[in-house]
Amino acid sequence: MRLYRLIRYDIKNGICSRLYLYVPAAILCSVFTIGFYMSLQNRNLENEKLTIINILLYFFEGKEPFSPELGNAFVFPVVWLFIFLYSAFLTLNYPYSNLTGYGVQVITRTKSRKLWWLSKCFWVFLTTFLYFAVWYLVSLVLSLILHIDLSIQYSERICAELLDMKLQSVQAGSVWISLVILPVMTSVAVNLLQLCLGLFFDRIYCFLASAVILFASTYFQTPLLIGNFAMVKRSVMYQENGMDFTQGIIACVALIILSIGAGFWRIRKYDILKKHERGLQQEAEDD
Amino acid sequence: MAAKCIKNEMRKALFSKASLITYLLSFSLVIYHTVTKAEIYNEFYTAYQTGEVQGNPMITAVSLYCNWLGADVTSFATSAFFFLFPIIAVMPYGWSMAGEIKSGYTKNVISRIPRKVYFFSKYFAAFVSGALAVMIPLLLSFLLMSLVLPALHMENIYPYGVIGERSMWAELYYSNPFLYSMLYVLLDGIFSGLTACISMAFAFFTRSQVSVVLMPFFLMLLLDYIDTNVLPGWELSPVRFLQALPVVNERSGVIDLAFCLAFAVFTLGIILYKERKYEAL
Repeated sequence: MRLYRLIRYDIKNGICSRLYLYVPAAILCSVFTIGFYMSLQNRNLENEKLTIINILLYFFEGKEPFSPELGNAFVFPVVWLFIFLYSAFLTLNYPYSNLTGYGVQVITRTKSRKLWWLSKCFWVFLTTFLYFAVWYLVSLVLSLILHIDLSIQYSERICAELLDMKLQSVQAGSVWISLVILPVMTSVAVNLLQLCLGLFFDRIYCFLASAVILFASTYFQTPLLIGNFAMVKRSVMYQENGMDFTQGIIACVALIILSIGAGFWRIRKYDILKKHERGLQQEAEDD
Repeated sequence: MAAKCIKNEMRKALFSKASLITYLLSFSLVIYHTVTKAEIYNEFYTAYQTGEVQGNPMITAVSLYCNWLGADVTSFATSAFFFLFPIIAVMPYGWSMAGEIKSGYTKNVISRIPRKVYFFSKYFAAFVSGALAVMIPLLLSFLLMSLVLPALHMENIYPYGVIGERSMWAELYYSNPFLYSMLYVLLDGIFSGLTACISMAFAFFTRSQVSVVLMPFFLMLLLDYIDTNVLPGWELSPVRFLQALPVVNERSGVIDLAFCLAFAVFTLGIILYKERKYEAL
């Protein structure tokens, strides 16, 4: 019951009163979708049957495995990074400002730090889901407006010419996992890691850590960098030795459990009063 | 009074904990880059000496001028440094305006000294701290790499480390690469200083310190998206054109200058406006 109340409190203060933060996400999604749609015209591909899967492949294509050879400059996948970094930004401020403000009162009254931490983890889950829901919903609405096909099929020619991507074996299940489940799970895992790091370091350094992990994922192909699992161009759909879906799900779940566990351990000894004094002035004005 | 205020702001900007952490982060990237490059060079040199390298050894590939942090466009350290430069530039002091408005420090100061002096001292301190946060790691990298790699002049017959004829300072790159590299350090410094000032200007519009710090970062990502998708041809993204060698397209001096001017006009314009209209209470 107490947890339910805390979650309700976080939904009200951390989501409902911060809905304006989702507007840039919707605008960005529109810009990226329309930009992609326009690029069809530039490449004389307007007669090709564009589907919503093509658009989602564009969002989550990521970066093909990079080999740092002479004269081969590294170009990072800006759309992919934008999507995940904005998600990290969305979940950056609220837990900290809550802990240094009213959160202290909440912890005192509920008499449980663990419940406070659990509710914040749940809040990160909800915020990330909502954020991705905005992306999918906006692309869906724009697809309807621009008469883009909503089928699970996709145009191979558009993929090859615009995304430089030739997918190996594509089944409906693989599409769902690589375009919906793994991006959302990866983002949740990175955001929870960021939330956990927030109990140790300042917020900006936590965001910096998320940015470095995601950026390094685009450069190095290794299962140790979790961002690799959220890129279609690193998956088994694109390359034979690509990232395995099951491995990706296990890695995300492991990171989520590790972050929540480390947070539990840290919050027990966390000096909330000291932080509260320092953050008292900020709380009133932040968010 | 102005000199005292500037001195005070500079002291806060250069000797803060945030500055120290920023430099530590940048230096760790520099050291990682130097060590990896030294290893590669060592392997190459050993193979070269033992005669394992057959045919043209393409010795300019290990030149200092295409391998220091500002120019090594294939390496992780360079890409990460320029990707994160908007945060690196802002972290030492760009956020301070937001912090001081929030804490009430601004009210106390501008009731004692002219607003103009206070705002311009902050602007100056933010610019210098942002510029130094990027210039010092770049210079350090250049110095460390010059201990390890030979400073060979680049040649335009190879498919690496080349810049096109139309590109900015192309002649200088081949005739005087040291000057070219130093000019790029200076350009990066100016741009980073202006990036820190953008963050300072945003402080008048939002109360969230995190947003103030991250605003320039997302702005640079947006410019990179525009460069990639909408306006190909010339390098328009600062993340790319601040690297001393081309990433995708040629660099244009006009575009670099236009960006510098736009950023300077935007930030100075806001400061000038706020200097007249800022209401502390």
